[in-house]
Amino acid sequence: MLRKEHSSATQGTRRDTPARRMPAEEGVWVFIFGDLLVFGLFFLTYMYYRGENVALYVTSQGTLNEIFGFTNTLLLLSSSLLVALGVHAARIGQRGAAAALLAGAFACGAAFGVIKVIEYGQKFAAGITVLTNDFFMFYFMLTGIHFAHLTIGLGVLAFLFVTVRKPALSPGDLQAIEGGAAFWHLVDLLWVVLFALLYLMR
Amino acid sequence: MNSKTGQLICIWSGPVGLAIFGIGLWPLAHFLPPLMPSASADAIAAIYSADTLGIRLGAMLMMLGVSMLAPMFGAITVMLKRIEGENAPYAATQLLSAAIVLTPLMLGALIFTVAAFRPERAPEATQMLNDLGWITLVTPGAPFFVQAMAIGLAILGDKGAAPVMPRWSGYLTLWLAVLALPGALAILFKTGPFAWNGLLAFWLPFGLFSGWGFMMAFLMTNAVKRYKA
Amino acid sequence: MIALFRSRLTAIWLVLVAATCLSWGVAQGFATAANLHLITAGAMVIAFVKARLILLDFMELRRAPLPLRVFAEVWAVLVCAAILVMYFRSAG
Repeated sequence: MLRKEHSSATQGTRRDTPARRMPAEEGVWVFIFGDLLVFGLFFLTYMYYRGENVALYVTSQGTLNEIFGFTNTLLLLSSSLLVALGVHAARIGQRGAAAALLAGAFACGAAFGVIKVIEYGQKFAAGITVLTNDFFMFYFMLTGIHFAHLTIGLGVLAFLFVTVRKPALSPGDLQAIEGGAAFWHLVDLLWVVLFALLYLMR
Repeated sequence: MNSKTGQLICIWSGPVGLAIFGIGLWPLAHFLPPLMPSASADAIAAIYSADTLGIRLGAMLMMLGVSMLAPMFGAITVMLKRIEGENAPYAATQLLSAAIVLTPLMLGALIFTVAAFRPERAPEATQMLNDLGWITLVTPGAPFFVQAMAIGLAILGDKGAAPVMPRWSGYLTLWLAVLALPGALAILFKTGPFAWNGLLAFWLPFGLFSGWGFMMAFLMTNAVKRYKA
Repeated sequence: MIALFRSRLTAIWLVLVAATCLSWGVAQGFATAANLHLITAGAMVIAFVKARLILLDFMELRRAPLPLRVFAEVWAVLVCAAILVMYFRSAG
């Protein structure tokens, strides 16, 4: 992070800090904060219904595959790191590295998807579906809606990959990259909460 | 009457339509909160018996309200054409998907009318019509998803020097598009937040859609006023 | 490319991974009937601390215009608090 040069002309009483800047385009945050609000509502709705039948939720939750959940969390956290580094690389002109990092992030996201499908498959094979009980209704709905976000996110990452390989990146391009990256981090963030809510809460 | 006046009339027909729909839904038909999907046939039949006039009048107003959304969607189409210029696929998509949005809203209300038309029917028959009405009204989220995506993408694709609509409204509309989809899940549940009377399948989408309608009316009014022909 | 990884972001990632391992590991290994509530509450708080780090450092809200940052921080605190309140109310 660049620090402003401390010029001797200023009287140095004010600490120099990097200026505040808006990551991505303003409007993207309408979308992201909107999603945070709605998911917040989802989380609280889940807690409300859970409170009506704690025993059911605890026993059902016991059948979840925590190793999958844990692995998926690590995958998304890693993919977010790669995306964040990719954005940074794009900013300093290392477009090749940026592309590689974004591809890595995509791979992590895709791996998450594969594990999710396997996890759902295991449940279906055991006869458990969205209609089985209230816990599983929420489990499938919450992780399913998240999965839809992840799928869209993979599309966004692909778009970022293509963008970053352009011969030159305009400020508009960089903004778009930041916006897409922010959406991917949202996908990661939501999963972090879902993991604790669905898999870890006893 | 110049085009600006025409556009403003069309735009504001939308919020008026929403209000009329609301009056039909609630003070008249007493359908807020929505009837419970888990209710027994006898309970449903009793409601239609007791409230047969209110439901029929309410459904009539609902249909009027829905019809008055059409001019606003027309005005949105014109606005999108303004943004896109000669080749306007988003405008065309918006127009077509708007029609598909309005149709089940009309049909749902119509079916409520039929259910209330002969309250002395066998309770199972009334319950089936009630199911049909609510499922038709609440579950088709995909048409609005498409419509909102078209509007959102068009707004964000505005390459003009002075964007017709603020960019944040494009993002907001895209976000709303995604929220239209969970309504379809009401076909799976008779209780809980995803049932047709649930927080996430009914209140959230319908509430947000109404809010969005009012917001778009204000934004488009500004856009029309700023327009130099 | 390796030089890119020598960044504050990688340090943040390490913290996130460690926090994940911590919350899961404790839930796995140390959960008894007595401390279940404490462990769950801890896991929840850790989850939102992680979420906050993602918001502030990966999504760069730390240096963003204040209204954005405030919204994100308030969201994290309120939702976490609400979840914990509802959890403990039903924990009996």
